[in-house]
Amino acid sequence: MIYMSLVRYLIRRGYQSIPTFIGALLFMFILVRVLPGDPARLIAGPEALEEDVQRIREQLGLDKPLYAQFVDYVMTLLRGDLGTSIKFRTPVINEILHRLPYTIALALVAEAIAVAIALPLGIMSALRPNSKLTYVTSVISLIGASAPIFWIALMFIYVFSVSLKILPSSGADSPRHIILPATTLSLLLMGNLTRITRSSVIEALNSNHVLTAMAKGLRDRVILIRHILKNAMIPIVTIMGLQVGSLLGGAIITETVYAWPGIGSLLIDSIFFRDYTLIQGIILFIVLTFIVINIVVDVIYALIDPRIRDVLWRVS
Amino acid sequence: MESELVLKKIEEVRRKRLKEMWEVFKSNKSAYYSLYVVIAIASLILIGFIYTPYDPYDFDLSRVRQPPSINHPLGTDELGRDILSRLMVGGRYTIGISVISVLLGTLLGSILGLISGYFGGRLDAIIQRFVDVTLAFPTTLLAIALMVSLGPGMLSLIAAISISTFPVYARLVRGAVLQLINEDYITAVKLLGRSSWYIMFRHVLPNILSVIVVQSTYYLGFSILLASSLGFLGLGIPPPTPEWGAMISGGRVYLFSSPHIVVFPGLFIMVTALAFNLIGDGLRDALDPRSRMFIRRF
Amino acid sequence: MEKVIQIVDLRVYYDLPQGTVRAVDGVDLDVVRGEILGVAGESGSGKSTLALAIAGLLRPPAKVVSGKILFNGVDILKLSNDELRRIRGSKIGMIFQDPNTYLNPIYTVGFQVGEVFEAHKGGPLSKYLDEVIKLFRAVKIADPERRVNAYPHQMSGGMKQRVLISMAIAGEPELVIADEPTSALDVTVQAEIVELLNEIREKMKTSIIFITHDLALLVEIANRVAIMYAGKLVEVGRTDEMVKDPLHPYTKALLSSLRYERKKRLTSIKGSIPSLINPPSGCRFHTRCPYALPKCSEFEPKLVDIGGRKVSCFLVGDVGGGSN
Repeated sequence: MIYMSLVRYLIRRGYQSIPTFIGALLFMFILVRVLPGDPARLIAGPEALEEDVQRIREQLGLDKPLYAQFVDYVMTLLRGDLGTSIKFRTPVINEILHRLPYTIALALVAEAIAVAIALPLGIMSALRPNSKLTYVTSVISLIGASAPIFWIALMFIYVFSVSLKILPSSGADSPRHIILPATTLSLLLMGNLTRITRSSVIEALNSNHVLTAMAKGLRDRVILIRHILKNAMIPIVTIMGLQVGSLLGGAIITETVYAWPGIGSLLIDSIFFRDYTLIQGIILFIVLTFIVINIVVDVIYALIDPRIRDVLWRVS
Repeated sequence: MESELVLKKIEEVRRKRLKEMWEVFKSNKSAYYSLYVVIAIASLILIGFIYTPYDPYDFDLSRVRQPPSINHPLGTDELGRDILSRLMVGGRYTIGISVISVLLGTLLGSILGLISGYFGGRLDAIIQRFVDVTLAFPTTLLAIALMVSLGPGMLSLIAAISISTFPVYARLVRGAVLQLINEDYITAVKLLGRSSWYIMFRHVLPNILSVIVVQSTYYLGFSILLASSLGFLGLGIPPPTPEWGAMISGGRVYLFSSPHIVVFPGLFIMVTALAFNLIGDGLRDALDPRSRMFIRRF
Repeated sequence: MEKVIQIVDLRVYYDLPQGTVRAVDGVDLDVVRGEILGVAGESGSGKSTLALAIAGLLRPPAKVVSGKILFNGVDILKLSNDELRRIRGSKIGMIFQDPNTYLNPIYTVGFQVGEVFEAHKGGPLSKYLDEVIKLFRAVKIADPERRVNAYPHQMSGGMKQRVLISMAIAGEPELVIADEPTSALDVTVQAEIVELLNEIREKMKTSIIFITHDLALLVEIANRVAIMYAGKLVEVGRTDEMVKDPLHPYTKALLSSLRYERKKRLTSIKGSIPSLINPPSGCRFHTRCPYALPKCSEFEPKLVDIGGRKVSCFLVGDVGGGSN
């Protein structure tokens, strides 16, 4: 019964996202056209002859009027073709898919660490205020929100790789290699997560329905789990969903510092190499993924809060 | 005569409220001290305009990577330049750009949000579409993409950060406007025949001002991190400009032997961002107080 | 007459950073079995705190400074947390005032009512589905079989209040405390709820404490009324007698603000509720009392029994001199 409206909701969201995605494509298209430099010459190389450059230009359709180029652009994308990397001479999509698992692994482990630390910390400091715990929680959340990730990464490297020599600092050769990058990234997430956990548990604690639960004579533990924590989870999950953007952005920087072979470091590398097709392809891929993830997050959000469910889903 | 008295009373009440808000803010120690920190750093940067201990661009390979000493309180970097001087000058870029960008972003976003919320209809739909597209990009990614296409430089950086931050304001302000627009006193003013612009600026704006101010303070912290990250990635202002993020990138290779080159700029970035975040917290509590009288124990 | 509740010299204070709020400052009150006792007062009079105290729901920063609350002879202020928990919901039920915030939005109403059974009778919630439906029918919720699966936001205010009522009576309690059960509802629904409560009292022989700021409601439904002001009781007595012949100036003022249709203008009581951190000296009402005597600002009148009515006022025969 829930599933029918879920499917309808998904279809509706997908449909609504199309203009946004096309808008993003347009935006990217404009961005790339603003770039200085002649893509055709870039591909051909500085020594190539003018005719060759012209040939490549025609091949890429760069001589056609702008709107035609855009149409071509969209068409090729629909075919799943993100173009060919200038540097590697392989399809962009292959490069991306090759590195994607690393980024996913990094993101998942970082999220797991953040949740495993932020949630208990936030809950405990909400239930037992004025303790050392609250202090620790505040410190962690402040550092997470204020320290530049690349600097934290370097500090971690200095302490754990260079001085103590107990953890590796670059590459992804062994499972141990993920520890430092994931922890660094998780710090970024923990910043907000601890604070929101604490404040939403406090708010749930003070809500009137808890009083009702007490008046009913429910056991303390039942009240805590059913009426406080479960209610607090809603804003917490919301924040976790909203953090996906920072997760992606943070991953780009983290991967770069730790030389972690994910699509983030691929992006920065491709900027360094001026591989514009690759750059464009990666950005588009990330944007599309981001849009999809946002829809999924909305669905999860509606699944856990019946009020949202009614507002969003039934209005079809 | 009476209306004069009424106006004076309104002024009095306003002044009293401001004073109360200031008192609440002051009582928040971390926020209050952060204010001092910001003033201190701002002073350092301002002094940098007329005096720095050394020329931040003058490199001397005989003095490379010296640890902190009496001559160089924060040491020298990988090209022998005095780090303190570079920080003082670099602050103009890291912080100055952040401030300008946030101001621009706030202005742009708020105006768009006001228009969008107040006028509604087609205009609203178009603006919202634009905002949606911008929000489809993760913020850091958008900034990177913009820097790549606009090329390095101060103007590009300002543009990139402003564009990355304005959508939040557009949404925030629009939401607040939509809430307020149904309030009776707005309808009353409308009935009095005031123009839409007048209503927007004189009645709606002051009420959402507090939200905007708090959000901007947080964004100041965020954009310092964003600007320095872009600088670190080599996407900001080209060297030899001592942008703080770029300084860290330069010293990265020598992390083992001369960590101070990386530590100090990072410390400055963190402390500044931290200060803004704490001030933001303090402002939020002062401007929008919630009765925290009865906190249940469990 | 058997007394369900006997409150003896209860004092409940709140420890706040601004000071100590003396919300309930020496209250002696009884509730007779099977009656509806109304407790009336303005906001800040201490009536809600009183309700929470009886229900055993006080939490820091509130603390009981002195006094006893006897429930069937047992001082519930001395009971352990666990013993209190067993009374709450099964022997003493509570109805709160705002059905919008006092129900948990993420569970169905059926679930939330079923929790009462689960907590006191044990076993899984699911086995009490029929009982919940029966309860819903008893409180006149239409289409109960479907409604048990509804979420609070899908129901109207009046229906949600009925859910709260059904929650309070699920355990077949001896006492139900209703804290402003109608304040958040419109007038037409109010009447229905009040009627419902009366029915409950008749059918289930439950005693009810009905707390409200709206004296008119109490005139309708309550057997006896207790009037509170600034943490103290000023008058207690049978409703019909009090309405005909109010003794305390505050009661008089409250009643006169009800009967405004006889006069040409609305009368209101000058001034506002005094601070409970720094209450006025002497009689708490003296700052707003049109009949105040000089000694009213120095000494506090005691609550004296005058032919079945209890009043605390120097004008109505109190001894000279209860001070604070």
